[in-house]
Amino acid sequence: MRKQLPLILIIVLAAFLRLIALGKVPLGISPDEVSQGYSAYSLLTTGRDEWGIVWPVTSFRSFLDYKAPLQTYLMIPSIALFGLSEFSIRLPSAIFGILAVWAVYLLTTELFGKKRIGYLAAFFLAISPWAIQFSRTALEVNLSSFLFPLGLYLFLRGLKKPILFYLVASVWGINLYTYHAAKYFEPLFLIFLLFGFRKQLSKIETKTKIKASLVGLLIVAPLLLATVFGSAGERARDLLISQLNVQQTDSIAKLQYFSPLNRIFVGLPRVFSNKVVFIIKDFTENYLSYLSPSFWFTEGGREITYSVLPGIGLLHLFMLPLIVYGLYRLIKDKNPRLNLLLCWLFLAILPAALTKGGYRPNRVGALLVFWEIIAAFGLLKLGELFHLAKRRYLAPVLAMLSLAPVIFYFNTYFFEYPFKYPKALSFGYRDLVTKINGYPKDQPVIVDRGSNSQTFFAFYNQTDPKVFQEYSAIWWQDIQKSRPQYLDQLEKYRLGNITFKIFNPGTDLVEGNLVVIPSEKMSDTYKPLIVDRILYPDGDVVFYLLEQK
Amino acid sequence: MKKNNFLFSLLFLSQVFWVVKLNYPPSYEQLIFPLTATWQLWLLRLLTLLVVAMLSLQIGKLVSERGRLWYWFLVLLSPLPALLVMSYPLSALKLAVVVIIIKKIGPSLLSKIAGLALIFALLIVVNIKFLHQAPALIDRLSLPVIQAELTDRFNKEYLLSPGNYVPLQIKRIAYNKYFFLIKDVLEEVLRFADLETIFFQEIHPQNQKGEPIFYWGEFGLFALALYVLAVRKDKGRVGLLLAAAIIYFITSDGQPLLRHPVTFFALSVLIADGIPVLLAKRGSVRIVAVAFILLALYGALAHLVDRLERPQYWLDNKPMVYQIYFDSVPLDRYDVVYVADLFGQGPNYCRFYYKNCSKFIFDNFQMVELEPLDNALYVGFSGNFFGITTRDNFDQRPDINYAGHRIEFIQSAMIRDNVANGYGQRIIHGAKTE
Repeated sequence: MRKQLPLILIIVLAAFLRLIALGKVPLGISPDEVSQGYSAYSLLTTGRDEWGIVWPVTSFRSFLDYKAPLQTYLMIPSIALFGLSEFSIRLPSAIFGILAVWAVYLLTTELFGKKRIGYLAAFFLAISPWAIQFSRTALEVNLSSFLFPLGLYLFLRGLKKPILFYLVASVWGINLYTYHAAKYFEPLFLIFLLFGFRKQLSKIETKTKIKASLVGLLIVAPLLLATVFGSAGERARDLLISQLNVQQTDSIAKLQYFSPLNRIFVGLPRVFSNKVVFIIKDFTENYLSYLSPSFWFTEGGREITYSVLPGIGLLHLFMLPLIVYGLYRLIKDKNPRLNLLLCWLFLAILPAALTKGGYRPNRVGALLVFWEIIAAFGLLKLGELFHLAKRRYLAPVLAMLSLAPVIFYFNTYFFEYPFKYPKALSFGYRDLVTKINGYPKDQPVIVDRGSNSQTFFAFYNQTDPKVFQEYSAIWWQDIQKSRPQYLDQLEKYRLGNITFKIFNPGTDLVEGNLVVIPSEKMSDTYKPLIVDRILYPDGDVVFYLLEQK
Repeated sequence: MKKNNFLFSLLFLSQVFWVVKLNYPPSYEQLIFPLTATWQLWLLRLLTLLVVAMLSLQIGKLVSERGRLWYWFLVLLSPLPALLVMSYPLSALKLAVVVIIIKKIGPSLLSKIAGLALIFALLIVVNIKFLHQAPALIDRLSLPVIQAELTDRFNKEYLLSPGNYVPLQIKRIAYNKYFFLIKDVLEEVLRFADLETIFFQEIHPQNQKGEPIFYWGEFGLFALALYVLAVRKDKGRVGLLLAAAIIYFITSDGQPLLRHPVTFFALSVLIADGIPVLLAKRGSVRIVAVAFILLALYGALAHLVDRLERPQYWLDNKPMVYQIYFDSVPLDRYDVVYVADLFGQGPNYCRFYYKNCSKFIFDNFQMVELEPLDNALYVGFSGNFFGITTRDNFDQRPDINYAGHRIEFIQSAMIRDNVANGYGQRIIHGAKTE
């Protein structure tokens, strides 16, 4: 027990940072979190999701974005215990975030054979901005931060103790149900492992290998079938860079048409401006965005909706020299783990680079624990270089130096972020639902549809899932007719007395209707009709409630 | 060898061809020199070409014998040297400062530190004195500005409800101007290593334009060469060159290309040293390296075509604005010419195009607010004529009434991109009608 004290302390620290005020920070909650929470609630109470589908295995229809299923299932016990709330739906992610600290300790110790590096990696992960932010929101990708390193650890251990391969197959099989990028990254990484460790693997009994493969296949089979024949890969397909939009194809066509090279030979410009070149270039550009130091250390991600703080790096600044030196020493010393780690890095970026837009932290989730491992190795090597073991007085100095960025981050995240960026996480729906519940139950309510607002109403009202399923059956009929990409692209749809549609003052502002519009749609004309407001913590308006008297 | 010479000549000529064919108007940097005629501009370009060639030769000596061919391949493939020659003589001179000092630096640590400090000081002086450009780093070093930011943060936190109850003493560990200073400086330094900027054409909406430094295919070569460098015992002067590149980057401002010339040469040396090692390997590494070389060639060719097709898409359009402003003003018909000098370089450009600028008045006029003079020509963007809210959304009639006066549009031309924020893209020469 005493031997494990450093690890226990680190895990306690990680738990504290992930669980404290979990339901309140970050302020607001994203539609994706709420939707998963309500699906879990629906399963818990009716055995069907909100669309009436019995225990979906490979994906949840959700907003027609077909979400990976594991997180939703993990929410069920949490909701059963604590009820349907922001806290209960974020709890599984937070627990996996804590477990990830343990997994990274195991993996790092196994990789380098030194517990000290394991402790350092675990500590870095415990205080990592990226890991904390992802653990405190119900993001599917965060589950992988535990499952992937655990699987890799078991694989490395399995080379000595083959029985563990059954566990590897199970853990990594389940990991494929966590988020879409894992479906691309993990098979590629597995191929590398099988190739890179072929000598060690050849010494293992064939029977064990076949049995373990069968276990893995059994777990993955539904997903494979759904990806090939069904809807599980639909969201991922939509996001691929190969799906060029009209502007992009138009721009390529213009470049071809107006090229002076047409004078030499019609069709020659196609050699230089074509879809393939465009996609390769886009891919490379995306890929490089994930290797940008600014992305990791100073600027962070470019989409604040996924619990990312603008202008704050995903990693602490003090880790930069540790990572640089760690990578340098891995390469310089030709460390036996170098290929494995480099492969992890370069393959993890692949799925992210294949999708539209760069600088998206949630798409490189496979790297959630990677940099901490490198930084831990780098710190140990720097310690050796500067003989830190002998110069013990330097340790507190270094600790103090790293304390400033850590304090800066925590103050920003826990105290400034909730006030600065509540809009990023759809703040205001809780208050809106409470306000609307104060009006007569039969009064028609028109909600200018935001991003899938219906899910917030169902969530905060704890709408009976059976009632929701009746409405979603009607929506599904409309979807079959108009084939929108996402549910909220339907012209209009109804849940009880609430209709979700694009605000049209001519038809909506009639006597008897209660109309909800976001502040950006407010104009002087409607000001006399305001009956209520929903406010951000800083006093700005989120929603206006209008009524024609 | 002959084949290589042929290839290099071809690459060199393609760059020269582009510069000559384009015949772009002079840049701000060129007009810091007292140019008054086109032949002087070309003479300056020729001199810059000599400087860039000499510097390229000198830096080439830092490359191993085996890598030198590849070094020239990389240098001639990039549009950067051609751009320095065409538009940026002072940047070439700044590069010369760096190269000369790097060459003089001895092997001792003290000599390296002193050399880099000298580079830092000289670059700052050149930027401030001649380019009138506040280096990006200087902006970040202002303690009063940081103090103001901190005060603002504290003031805002006091207003929060529920408030921030972290003890001030603890918060002060991070919320002090020195930590913010280090953080800001590091942020600036980290931008140096933004690979997307170095290997892609970054078109920044505010910063206007950016020519590529390397082509995206070359990133693969860079990654492999970096690996070669890391395992190599003798790292030569690449480290020193990279340190100088960081200094150059943080002490300059403007589009990425103008902040990265030293980076370009440093990485060219690094990649050139790596390529022969990669090609000497057997199997997949060699195949991948060859594939990347071919990709780089393809990228360069594709870009050359694009540059010929639409140069204004890539280049800074402000010199084009001044060319349209001044190139065809019928001076003899007017007593005075009012020029809306939005970029503050009007007198220099006027001197280049006319020598005698006594008839010109440089002022960011707003036609809606003034009484047009007789026999005066007004030159500016549509925003100057119609107000900045109107921009280009005006009735395309040849003349228009202003407070009872009719203004005739003598000529108008569109600039490719919006360089005058809010003023539109149409440049107009207008005068009051009789």
